[in-house]
Amino acid sequence: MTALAADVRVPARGVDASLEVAPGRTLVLLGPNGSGKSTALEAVAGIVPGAAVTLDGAAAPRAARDRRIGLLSQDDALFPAMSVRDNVAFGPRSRGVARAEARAEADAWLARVGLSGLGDRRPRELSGGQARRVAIARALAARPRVLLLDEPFAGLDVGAASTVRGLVAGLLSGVTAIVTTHDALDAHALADDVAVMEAGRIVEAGPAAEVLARPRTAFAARMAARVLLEGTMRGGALELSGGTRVPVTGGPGAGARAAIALRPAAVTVSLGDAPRSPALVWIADEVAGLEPRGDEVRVQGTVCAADVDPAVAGALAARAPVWFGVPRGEAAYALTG
Amino acid sequence: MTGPRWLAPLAALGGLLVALPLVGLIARVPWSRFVALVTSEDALTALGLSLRTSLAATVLTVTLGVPLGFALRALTGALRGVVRALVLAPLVLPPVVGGLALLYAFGRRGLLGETVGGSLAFTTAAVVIAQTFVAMPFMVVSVESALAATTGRREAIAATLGASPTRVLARVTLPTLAPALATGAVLAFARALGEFGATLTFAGSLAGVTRTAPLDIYLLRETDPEAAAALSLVLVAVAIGVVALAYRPVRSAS
Repeated sequence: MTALAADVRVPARGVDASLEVAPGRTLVLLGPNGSGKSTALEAVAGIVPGAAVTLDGAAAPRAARDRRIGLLSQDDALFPAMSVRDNVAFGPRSRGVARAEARAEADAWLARVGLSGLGDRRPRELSGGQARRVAIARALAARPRVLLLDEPFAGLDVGAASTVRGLVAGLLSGVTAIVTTHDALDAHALADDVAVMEAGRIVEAGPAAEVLARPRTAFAARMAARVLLEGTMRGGALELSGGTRVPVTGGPGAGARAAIALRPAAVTVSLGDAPRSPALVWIADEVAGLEPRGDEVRVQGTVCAADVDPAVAGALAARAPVWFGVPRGEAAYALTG
Repeated sequence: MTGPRWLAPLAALGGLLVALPLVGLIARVPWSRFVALVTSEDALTALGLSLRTSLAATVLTVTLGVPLGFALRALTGALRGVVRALVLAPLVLPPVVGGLALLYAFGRRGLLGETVGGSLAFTTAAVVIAQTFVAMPFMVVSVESALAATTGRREAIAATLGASPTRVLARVTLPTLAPALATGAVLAFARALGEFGATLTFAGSLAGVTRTAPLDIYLLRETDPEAAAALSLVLVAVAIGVVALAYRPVRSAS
């Protein structure tokens, strides 16, 4: 198992980030589309210039072919003129393994990704999920020291994505890997460590439990699918900038900056003079935006946010006054230091 | 996509312009003597020479034109435009001018001097050089436009899998270029087969050595017009056959 450290500077694409992965761990690089995640991976793999990479403390070779860092790209990039088996055997063959042996290795990898018997197919005869799995097998068959997966579940239909999710989760144990995603769910499922990327820079990094459960910036909280309420500790409560006091548990001493991170689904929305449950703390806010997310609608306020039923969201418009109901007793954590 | 109706009469006119001369040629062929004419020693020598030199020129075109296409793709900005215009010049140059230029470069009194020029002049090799000169642009254009349609993505991934640049070229790039290579080779072969002006100017018209079928036809036109027509028909048949069998317009790479 290999330790990876990389300083990535690709000014042309606005990327300036340092990444570190301990041996056998999975770093999830979490950021929105266009934040530079793919560029960072391409630079680490050596196919885009701009990364100073060390593997186990030694400088990695300059040429991609000598780096032994595997890259699974979003477009799969299977070789169309070769059979599926020869695609997977490409890495071993490039290393000088004899044809028969390389093909046997390829078949073993195809079996591991659940595609036994498809070796003779051409890439164009595969479904999207099958092609992604072949690309994963091809990357692993080259025996990389570090594996980079760029949005491994993007562009797949729901069923295929779920198959590939299960497969990747199993294959990553004991492999030093970086996985990019814009999906908090994947970060929760795969990450040992998380680095949050915003506009080409790492804004937060650390163990997954820390970064995902205790985000320090609104941006990181949004990427982790959390709502961040920031304030100052005042006698067992978090006082928000608007003056609202939210009773919390734990947290630093009085006067210190602190925050709680809530699931948007745990926040309730109330309108106008409708009766509001005294069990919750109510924050007066206004609607900054509405974004559909599957079965629910994210009501984004200027301070708080909530996921609500589309029937409720239908009554809301931008800039409309709204109450956000927040549960009492959430765990607070210090923001400074 | 059929376009507006008024295109049809113009298309018919265009078709006639191409078809009528062929019909005229066929009308002139003395069918009773056809087989004897095209299998005469003189005709077979010329046809054989044409076939051999055109194949050799096609091989040269692939060997040199493909790297040229890659080199052109590697250039950027205005330089690429200038170099492309230079490389493609033989396509639009009058063949006689091309022949003269070849003479001044590779001829007895050419740039490369007496030793090289003296050994090349009026040899079959000179024919192949003249044919390659006029046919290469087809391959260069074909390869360059096919390369422009690729992203280089698969090549980059192949490198991360440990493949050397040569292996990437052989196993990843060239297979994707195969249709473009085939198209370029077919067009180059057909162009080499029809080469006349540059060959006559540069290589001369020595029976069995540099007198290819087109040159032979030009000479026969004076002495035996019927034989010229018969031989011409053979060239027409070969050209149409080769193009129909192997020419596919280049589609953008998937």
